[in-house]
Amino acid sequence: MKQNSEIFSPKSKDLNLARFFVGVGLVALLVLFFKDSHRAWGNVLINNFYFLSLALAGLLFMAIQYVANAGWWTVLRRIPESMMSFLPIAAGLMFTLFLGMHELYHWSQLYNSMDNSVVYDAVLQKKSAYLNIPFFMLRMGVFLGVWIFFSKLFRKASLEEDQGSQSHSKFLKYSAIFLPIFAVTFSLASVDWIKSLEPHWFSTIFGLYTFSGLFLHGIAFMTLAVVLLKERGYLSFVNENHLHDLGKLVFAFSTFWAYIWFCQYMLIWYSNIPEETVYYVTRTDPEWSWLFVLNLVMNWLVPFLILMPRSSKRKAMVLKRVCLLLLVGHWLDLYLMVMPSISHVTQVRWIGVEEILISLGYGGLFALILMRSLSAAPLTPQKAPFLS
Amino acid sequence: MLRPALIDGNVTLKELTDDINRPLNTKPGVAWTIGFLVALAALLLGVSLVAYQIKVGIGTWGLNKTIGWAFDITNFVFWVGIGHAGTLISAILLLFRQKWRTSINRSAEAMTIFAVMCAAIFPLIHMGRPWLAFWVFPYPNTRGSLWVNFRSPLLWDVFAISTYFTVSLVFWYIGMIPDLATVRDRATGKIKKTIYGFLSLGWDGSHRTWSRYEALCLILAGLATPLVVSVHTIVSMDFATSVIPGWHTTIFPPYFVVGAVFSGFAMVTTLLVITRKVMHLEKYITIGHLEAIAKVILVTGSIVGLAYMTELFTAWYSGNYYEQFAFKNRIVGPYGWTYAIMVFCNVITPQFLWFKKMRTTPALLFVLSIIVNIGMWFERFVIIMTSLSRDFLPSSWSLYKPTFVEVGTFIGTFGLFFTCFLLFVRVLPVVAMWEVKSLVGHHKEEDSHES
Repeated sequence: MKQNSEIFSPKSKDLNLARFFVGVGLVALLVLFFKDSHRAWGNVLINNFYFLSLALAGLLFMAIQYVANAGWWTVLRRIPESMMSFLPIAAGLMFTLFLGMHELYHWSQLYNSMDNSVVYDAVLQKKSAYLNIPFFMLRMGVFLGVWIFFSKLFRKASLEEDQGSQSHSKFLKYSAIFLPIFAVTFSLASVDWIKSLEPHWFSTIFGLYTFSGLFLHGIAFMTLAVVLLKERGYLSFVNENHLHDLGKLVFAFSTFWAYIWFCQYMLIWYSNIPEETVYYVTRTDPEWSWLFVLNLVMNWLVPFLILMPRSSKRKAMVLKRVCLLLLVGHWLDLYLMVMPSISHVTQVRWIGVEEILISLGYGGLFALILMRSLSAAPLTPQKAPFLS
Repeated sequence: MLRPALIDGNVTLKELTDDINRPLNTKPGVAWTIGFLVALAALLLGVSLVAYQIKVGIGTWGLNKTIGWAFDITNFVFWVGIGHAGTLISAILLLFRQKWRTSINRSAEAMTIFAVMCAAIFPLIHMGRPWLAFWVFPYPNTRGSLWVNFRSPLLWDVFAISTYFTVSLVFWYIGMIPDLATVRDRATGKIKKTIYGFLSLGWDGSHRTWSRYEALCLILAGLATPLVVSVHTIVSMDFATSVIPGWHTTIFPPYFVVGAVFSGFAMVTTLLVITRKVMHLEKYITIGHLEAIAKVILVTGSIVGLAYMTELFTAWYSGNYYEQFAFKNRIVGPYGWTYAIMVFCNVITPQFLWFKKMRTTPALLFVLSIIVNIGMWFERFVIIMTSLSRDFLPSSWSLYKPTFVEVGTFIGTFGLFFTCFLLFVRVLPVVAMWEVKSLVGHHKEEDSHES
């Protein structure tokens, strides 16, 4: 096969748009901080987690493909690779949560404050060995540090491979070590950052639920990136069969997400134990219920029906629209995990213009980093064994 | 080499057909005969005990007021779980384009069918009056208000498992048709020719037939995939929809599905290590196949381990007294020893598969697969027993011990399973010849390109 060493160079139009979004998002966030700091922190958490998952999904996708000895994805490898280049920035943004602990996590008040305004809570006292600010921040540091470490290893091995060194067995080794570590760290991270927003509530499937969302939206983003790059004349090697494979993955993991969603909802609904139903009672009250239904429609029903026929999985335009829908859908899913949990302190019951602008700002930042990383190396891996 | 050849040596298409057909045309060997007699004896033991307990009643079991579910449902879940590997190999790996499945899918699917048969026996006997088993189907009847309860996961089981069994059987049979036609064409005796001729449904091997056929296989794979997930999901809901600590936990559905795949792959290993040796199929079921299976066992075993840890952590994190007690009781209660066996067999043992030596030595794999089989049986026992024996009301706490009748029935299902499997390897082609042939041909072609 002929070597393809085309280099991606972002259009100034795309770059300027991304910069503009970052600016607008930043302004919107500042304004919101003055208006309603709880809601502002909620937005920070949603977007931090959203783009951190996207970056992590790139790393995870690569690791899974390597242990499975898959070959089909090699031409697309630079995309997950560039996604994970956002990890250090995502980590920095996550650490800002330290400033918003009290606004977001009401268990932190219990630990921190001795004044009489805090109500004694027997259950949270029991959990304070795990849910306390120093340990929370320490865990955050460890999780993010480990993920960044592995992303650097992968990137280094990948660039070395371009220069002709034999990286394949290295990739395999890193992937095999990374996967079990990821499984444990990400499960705990989702408990820490999202589940502990409602510290009395518990559900064993929660880590798997956030994982299914992460993987689905990672694949959706990758597919979207492939289509966008092709529209701009890159990735000539990528043909309909690659799109078909990506489409199948999107279809399968959308259904997998819905399966996990159903397992959690159905079992809690059926057993009807107050400690557990509290989570869904908030989310299905009239103010939130339309978003609750929309979540399922966007993340599963519509993609499922559209992607069912073979032909639609092979059309770039169809995939592009479905993936955009899924990317918005995953944001909504996170919104529903976060906002209702803090709704007792903030009166927000809707997705306002601030939410949209802040998310666009984060998206712009992510796009800038992604484009920089994509243009740093040839768009097709050079000398990858599956391409020779 | 990135992807070593799946089939060893330079096998020609004719050799392959000869090798796979040989057992169908020769007299059985000593090993097979002894194995068959042992399995038959176990089956007879099971049959006589089933007859006995139907006559005398369920009182012959060790159940009591507190523990109304024990050995029977443990065995039921155990056998249903075993079946999952067959569908995973034949359907899900087909969708994932994993070509190594071709040498092992036929026997794994056969295993699925037989395992589901074994599973179905337990709820059937537990009914006490199995001749009224048709009452589980909802249809207009003259029994007045007697009607199935659609809100019960046990009824969902009826639908899930009967659908799954039907689709698996159809998938298995359809997958065999081209090979049955090969057997028909090679058969010498008139009776044999007639039977295989009937079974191969007039297969003519034309281009049009093949094209229809492959489309059908893909559709069946697409159908079987959600079905296999649904089966163990619903089996897990038999427990998880309750409010019993240790049973009611949201992770149960996916965790049961993965556990089922784990146990099923262990059983596939147990069967294939013996089958390939006794029937001289080492050329077709290679070390590479065993290694791939071993990797699946490692992954699923580790996920099961993660699920155990998640349950423990969440029990602590919940701050709920009953949740915490249920898990403490599991580990240090009267059945603590079963928990220890479970963790040793399902979490620790598979970790040895990180070593290539372990994954590529059939004898070691065989031992490991037996350990995993034992562990997965104990997992179901632990879940079912520990939560039932000590629930919210200490005055009703109790213990359970299986009786001879229950143990004997369980042995009987092994008899049924192995009798069926041993008959299968004598009368049907164990390896999907038509699928493996595509691989053999492929490699030849590649070789000629290179030279």
